[in-house]
Amino acid sequence: MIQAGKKLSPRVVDLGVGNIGSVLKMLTRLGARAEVLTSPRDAGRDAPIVLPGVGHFSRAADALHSGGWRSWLDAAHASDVPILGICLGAQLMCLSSEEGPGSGLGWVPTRVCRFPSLNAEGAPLRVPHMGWQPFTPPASCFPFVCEPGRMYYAHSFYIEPSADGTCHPYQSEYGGVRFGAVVRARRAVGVQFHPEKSHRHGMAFLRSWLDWASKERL
Amino acid sequence: MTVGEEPYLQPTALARPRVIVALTTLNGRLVRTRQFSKPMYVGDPINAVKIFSDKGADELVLLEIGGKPLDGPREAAIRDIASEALMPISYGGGIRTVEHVRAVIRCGFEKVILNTVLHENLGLATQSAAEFGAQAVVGAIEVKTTWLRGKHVRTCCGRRSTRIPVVEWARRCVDAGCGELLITSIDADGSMGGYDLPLVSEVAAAVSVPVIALGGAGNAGHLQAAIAAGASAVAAGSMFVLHGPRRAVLITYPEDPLNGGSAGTAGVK
Repeated sequence: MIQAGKKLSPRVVDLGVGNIGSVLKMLTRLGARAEVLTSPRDAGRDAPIVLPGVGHFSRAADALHSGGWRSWLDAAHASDVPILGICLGAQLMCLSSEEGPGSGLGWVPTRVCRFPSLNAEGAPLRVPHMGWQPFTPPASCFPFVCEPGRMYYAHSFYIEPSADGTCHPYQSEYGGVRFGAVVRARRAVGVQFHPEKSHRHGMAFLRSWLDWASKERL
Repeated sequence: MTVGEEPYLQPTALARPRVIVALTTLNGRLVRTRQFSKPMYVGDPINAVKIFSDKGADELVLLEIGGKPLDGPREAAIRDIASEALMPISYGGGIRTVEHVRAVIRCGFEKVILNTVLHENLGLATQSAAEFGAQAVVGAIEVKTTWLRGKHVRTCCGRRSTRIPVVEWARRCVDAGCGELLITSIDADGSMGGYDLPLVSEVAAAVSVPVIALGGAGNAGHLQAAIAAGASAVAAGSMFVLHGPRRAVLITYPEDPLNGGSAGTAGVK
């Protein structure tokens, strides 16, 4: 456990696509002193990293490349810095996406796919998948303890799950389509849901991650 | 760091459709309306959002009906409102340009709600979806039935009628990039007598994106009926803000809103 009153400084990557306001708001509520990075140049290598994201995969992949983020994130990942990817941030940890061209970070060897227009029974599937799902991960899903609750999802593309639980410890379903709700690679954790928009449930999740991540680095 | 060999599959049988709180403001003041008129002042939006956030409401929709384009002061006001929401919150009202869309997202809203502007520039939905994703763009369609025109789409907060059939307009909004549709019955607004179910099923059957029903909800049975009619999510205003036959202001959001569940209540002021 971290000492009471100790302020953590996770670094939030701002790729310039989408919105990082909600994540910052939630981290601040948790008492963390989040630092926004608009370029990897002004970044050290120690504090935990949050890779948030809403928006288009290709635009973000472009920004990873042209902004010089890729090598910096790869180095952080290789040296076991705790990294949390949220929604598009989690998808960016994969190889590629059917949303458009561009490559992800490739830490999780899988693709990101478009939800089909029909569900398992052949009825139309409404996309985006938008709404709340129960959250009851078993203890082995995360390297930290998580309270059960519910989480908010909003996505048109999903992480193709693999039968191997190492990178894909936690999966869920929408319209009969199984997707990766959580992916893991070394100390990087990617979540398809939005903890920053999931009330006290998401807050508890982020607090657990922060506690674990800072303990890992202190 | 140990991970199980077998992935865990989340049981989702208990996932339920979203029950969304729709808040209406007139020049920044929280109001309730009936058939889009007779605005009644009910309190301060920031406080209301804070209470709904504390009560764990699934999602919030904030609609400004003053009709003026989004400006600096309004932007500052909605930023304060959004900062109280620990759940998804969307904003509509006076969004005319892509700069407005960016401003609303920057204020901390997950989604923008577009209505009147789409009748002049449907491309704004396309442009917004390309930049922020389809899940961030909600097309709002407000429908009124009159003796002369039948059921038709209205713009400008219900003041202007159009000639486009509802279903055709719904399809065009989705084709343009809207990731969700908010379908409001002006006739049922504030009545608390139930949704316009034929309207809900007609639109839901025509499009592949989630459809949110709004207008007329008064109890949990109404919410369930709209889900049964094809809505992916249900929204209500009066039901969560007004109480009793005298329509006293009382904020409620039951723990299990689709089944009436135990209600938590609080005064708004």
